[in-house]
Amino acid sequence: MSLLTCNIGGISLRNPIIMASGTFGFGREYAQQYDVSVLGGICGKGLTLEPRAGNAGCRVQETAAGMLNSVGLENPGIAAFLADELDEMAALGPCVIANLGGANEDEYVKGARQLTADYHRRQRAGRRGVEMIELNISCPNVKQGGIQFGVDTAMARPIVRAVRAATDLPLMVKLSPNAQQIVEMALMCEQEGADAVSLVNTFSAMKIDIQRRRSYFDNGYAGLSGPAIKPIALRMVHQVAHAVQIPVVGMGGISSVEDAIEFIMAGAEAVQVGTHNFVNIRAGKMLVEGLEQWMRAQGIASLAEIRGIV
Amino acid sequence: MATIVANEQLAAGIFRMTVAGDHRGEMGQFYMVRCDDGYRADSYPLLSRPISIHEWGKEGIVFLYRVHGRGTELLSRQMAGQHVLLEGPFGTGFPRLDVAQSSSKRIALVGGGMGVAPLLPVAQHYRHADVYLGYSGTVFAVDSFKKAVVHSEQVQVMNDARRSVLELLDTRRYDCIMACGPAGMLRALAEQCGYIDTMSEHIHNEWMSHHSLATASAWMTTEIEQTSAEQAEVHSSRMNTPSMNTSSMNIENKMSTLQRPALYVSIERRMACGLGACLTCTVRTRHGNRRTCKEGPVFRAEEVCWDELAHL
Ligand SMILES: Cc1cc2nc3c(=O)[nH]c(=O)nc-3n(C[C@H](O)[C@H](O)[C@H](O)COP(=O)(O)OP(=O)(O)OC[C@H]3O[C@@H](n4cnc5c(N)ncnc54)[C@H](O)[C@@H]3O)c2cc1C
Ligand SMILES: Cc1cc2nc3c(=O)[nH]c(=O)nc-3n(C[C@H](O)[C@H](O)[C@H](O)COP(=O)(O)O)c2cc1C
Ligand code: FES
Repeated sequence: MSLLTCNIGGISLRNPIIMASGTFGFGREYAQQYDVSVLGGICGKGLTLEPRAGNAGCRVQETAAGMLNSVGLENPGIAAFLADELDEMAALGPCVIANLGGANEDEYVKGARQLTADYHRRQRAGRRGVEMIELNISCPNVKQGGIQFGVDTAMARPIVRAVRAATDLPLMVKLSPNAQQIVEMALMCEQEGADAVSLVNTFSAMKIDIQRRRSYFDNGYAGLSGPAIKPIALRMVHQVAHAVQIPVVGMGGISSVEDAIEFIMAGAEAVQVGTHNFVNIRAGKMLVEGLEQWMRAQGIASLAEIRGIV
Repeated sequence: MATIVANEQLAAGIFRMTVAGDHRGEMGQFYMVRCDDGYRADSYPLLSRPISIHEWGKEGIVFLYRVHGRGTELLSRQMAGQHVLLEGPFGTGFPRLDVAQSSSKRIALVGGGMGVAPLLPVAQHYRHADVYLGYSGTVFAVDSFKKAVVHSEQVQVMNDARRSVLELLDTRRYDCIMACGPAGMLRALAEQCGYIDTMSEHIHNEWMSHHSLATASAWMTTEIEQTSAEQAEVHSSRMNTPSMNTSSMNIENKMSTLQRPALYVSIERRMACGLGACLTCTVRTRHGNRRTCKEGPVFRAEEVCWDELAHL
């Protein structure tokens, strides 16, 4: 399968199809549906230092070609993930990527240290562990009134810097499309030593229940994902990929082989797939097989031939 | 991809769809269903819809559904010979009690509106169960239930928009009740079975520690409609009153036969993945968060946080 191999932060992926954080659990449930070892990588559900119960109230609403979610980082906490989930996740085969969130710098740093220490412990014992950290800076900054770290480059910089210092694992920073200056944000990550950037996370969005005259969501706003965001996500990936030297992992509404190719042509090293897993349970397999078929049919020997050609 | 064998309208807005193929599952489980749209990015609805298993027929699996919004409306327009996409079975359904045990156990099934759908396989399994079906205007699937049980008189129907099917039911006659229906109905049932204290925990404890059993019984008599003195004793015994002592022997005897029934309820939450990966369907329970699509949709009443069972 050298046809599809790609490389992020020194890690070689068998193909560029990665499952997006929060849409694939830790892989277990989908592994019961199909052979997920065909995938390039799996980003686990967003983790925080301590367990989180997530948001109350309605957590999902459908919109035209998309969905709004307000899960609110419900997760078992890093310690429980390492103890109860990681062995099984690592046995699935694809690259194991831990998505790391936090409420403040201290939480991010402690989380990164814990993941990294566990990696080294397992490595000494000859076991697989977390192979890459995806730093989720789309979390609300509790000190700054809940505004996302990833909106403001100056607010995100210390987080990226501190996490970079705390880990020697490959570090991919996941950018928020709500960033005031997404290119500036990506350049900052590169300057601070990130190995890659991934984008985009969900768009801050809203839906109102006119009967009850309030937002459907207790938090007011929720995150928009799915086909509706694809054209904007693609434009952002294109801009960022043409500005930075580090690999860019593109996502946002990818629902077909053609969509994935668009992101690669825009400059993405690899892509992530989120919402489409809900539409087509075997989305990952469909994309891996479809992409390979397309390349053979086009007589393309390597993704590098088409990457960033637009 | 599975072929639709039949998609008949049973009543206004109520459809029964049979889909060919060996689609397995347990009673109370569901499938994620969508029209055959080739998983296109521009298809509406984007997300599949959770629909319970209603029956395993000769020609395939049967779903009973109400046209609610666009997704179910599209489904209702599909004709025999067309295709649907099914994923499943998902979730944890109603319990399979020990068979020898279950014929001696007195079981009731309570369905409200479309909540009758997942109960048919349960009635087919527990053929001695009493079945209570509530509707508000449009009645459907009653004959299926009458065929499922041993005697058709086991099936009782309430069809009145202003009255509850629970009026037909004396919960104390049962060891186990399994129910599906609107959140309000499930809550009322849980209350009727003694799973919800009408007083807050604090007031309750304080009140109990300051009152004798006799006054507790008296309070119960005024609190619970049509309560005989005997029933009141039972209710107070459920409350685990600290003042209850061995001198109340007659009450202790009744406790063994008149305990609150085990109650299993099937609840609904909006879902995205349907298989336990996205956490959009989480409910808060007494034991922490649970996924409606994985640990549910059937939960034990004592697990449910009734005050938080928000509507969809
Ligand atoms: C475990 C489970 C089993 C179910 N079994 C049945 C069944 O056997 N028969 C039946 O008629 N209905 C059943 N429902 C309800 C059914 O899923 C909804 O009526 C249906 O999703 C509505 O879709 P729609 O597009 O017609 O309506 P819309 O209102 O347009 O739906 C919009 C969104 O709301 C969601 N939604 C709306 N109502 C519900 C609901 N009650 N539960 C979950 N999601 C909802 C949809 O999934 C969708 O995302 C079940 C629900 C659950 C959770
Ligand atoms: C239900 C749900 C939960 C998500 N949880 C996370 C998360 O925990 N961490 C994160 O970085 N992104 C999370 N995301 C964002 C996705 O990983 C992805 O960036 C986004 O959905 C856009 O891709 P898509 O359109 O393919 O879904 C979540 C998305 C959804 C739909
Ligand atoms: S619907 Fe995704 S976890 Fe239940």
